[in-house]
Amino acid sequence: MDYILDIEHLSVRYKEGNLALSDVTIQIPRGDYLGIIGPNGGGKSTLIKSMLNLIDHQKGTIKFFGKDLKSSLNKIGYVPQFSSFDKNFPISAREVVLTSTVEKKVKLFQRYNKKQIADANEAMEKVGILNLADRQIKSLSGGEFQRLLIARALALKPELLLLDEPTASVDSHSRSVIYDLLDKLNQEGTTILMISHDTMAISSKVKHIACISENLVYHGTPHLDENIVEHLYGCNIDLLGHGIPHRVLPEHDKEGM
Amino acid sequence: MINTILQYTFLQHAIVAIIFSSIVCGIIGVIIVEKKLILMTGGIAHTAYGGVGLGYLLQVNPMITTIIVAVAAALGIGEVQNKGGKQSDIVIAMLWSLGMALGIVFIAMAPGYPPNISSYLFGNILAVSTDNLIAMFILTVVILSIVVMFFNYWKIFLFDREFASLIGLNTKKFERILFILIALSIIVLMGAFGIIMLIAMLCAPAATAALYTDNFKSRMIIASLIGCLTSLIGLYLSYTLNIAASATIVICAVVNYLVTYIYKAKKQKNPTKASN
Repeated sequence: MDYILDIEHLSVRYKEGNLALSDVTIQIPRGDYLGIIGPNGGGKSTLIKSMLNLIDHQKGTIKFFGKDLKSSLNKIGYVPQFSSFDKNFPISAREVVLTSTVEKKVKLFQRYNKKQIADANEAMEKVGILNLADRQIKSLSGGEFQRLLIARALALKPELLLLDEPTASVDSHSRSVIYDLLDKLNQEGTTILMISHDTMAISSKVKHIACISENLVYHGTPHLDENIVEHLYGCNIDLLGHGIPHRVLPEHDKEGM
Repeated sequence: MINTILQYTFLQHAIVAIIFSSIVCGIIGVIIVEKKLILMTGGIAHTAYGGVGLGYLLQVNPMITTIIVAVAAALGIGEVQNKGGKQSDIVIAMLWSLGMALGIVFIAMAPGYPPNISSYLFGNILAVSTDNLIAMFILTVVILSIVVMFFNYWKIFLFDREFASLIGLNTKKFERILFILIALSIIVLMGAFGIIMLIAMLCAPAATAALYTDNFKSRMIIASLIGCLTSLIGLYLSYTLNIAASATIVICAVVNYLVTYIYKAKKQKNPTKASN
């Protein structure tokens, strides 16, 4: 079977030497919508970053579309966590989105052409921030900025979209816009891989779920049982879904108790 | 004043030096202020003093050795900053002093009459030689053209380095070139403002411009104009009051920043009053 993303036996160490990911194997078919959950520090962001070569990995292979990362870069859209950004940088929303339309080959006096500007506008339209295009990023709210980062990834017209906590600390309007948009993109054929701390919300949105806590604990339909959660979170069950962890689990039946 | 300028070459030199320095301060200053590379820039500038000493020791033009040492220091400090994590500011501080110490030792060991150290530390905009002006001109053109020719790429790289590498830009190369440009800017400013005061000239106009605009390009242009204007005012004041020119210019640049900052802060607090 053809996989859009094929990760085999991936092991990654943190700079300090601790193991972040150990022997993770995961395959994502075309058209999938995969949610990755796991405890804080369990290696979710490390997984995405090592896929994109932003962090070195010690063992394992990562293939996109059956090839290496470099020859697939123009098909991959990456949405990082917005909290890591310097929002004071003097740049407008449109300029941020335009950056992903720039050609790989460095040209002297590069200017954005009409098509690139149209692509950027279309991407901003999709996430509902076209009206903010000329605003400086420092005047955007958290949710608007997150949607801007998604628009930047969409301007590439990616076949695979990787998102790192796209709904963390955004307002509820932006959150529903983001979830609806991802739904729609997935229906149109974009393969999506999304990291989330919001276990409850994503289990009802995604097609598959993967649980990462150093190892790949579970990969399958979004239907978790206590064993997996127990294994994944140990006793730190309160890490799950903001204090309402049981909504992700099937109802306990009486005999089992 | 105009007659005096026409009369004295040293004043003409000073004005030309102000123009070149202001362009560099506008462009590179905005970048280092925005990316918080000020400590690093200070480190490179002071380490470069080792290059001045080396020039006198080897009896070659100190400009050449200073450029070499400054570029090497910039790349070295850049590497330290990338790899060193929390240790990096300690290493930068040590290089900072080490460069100065080596400079002093080299000059002491150098044959012949020792140069005036304070002209390198504090600069003298009234004593910029024709050779120095030519070097300033060449370096300014190099800095200006590299930034302008790749302007959109610089913006991508400076805003989000991770993303820049994902769209296929060689971010390592961009970073090295940026560090080299910072080193070259230091050389441009060293003669006029000296190792110690050039940092203020890189920061003040850029920080002032940041209070006026949030557009990257306009910020560079405004910073250059502010640098030029405050320098000319400083030069005029120093001439009429008969005080040290470079120091007066630095004071003007910093005071201009403070006044603008207070004015803007007041206006923000009390928008109706300011518009009335």
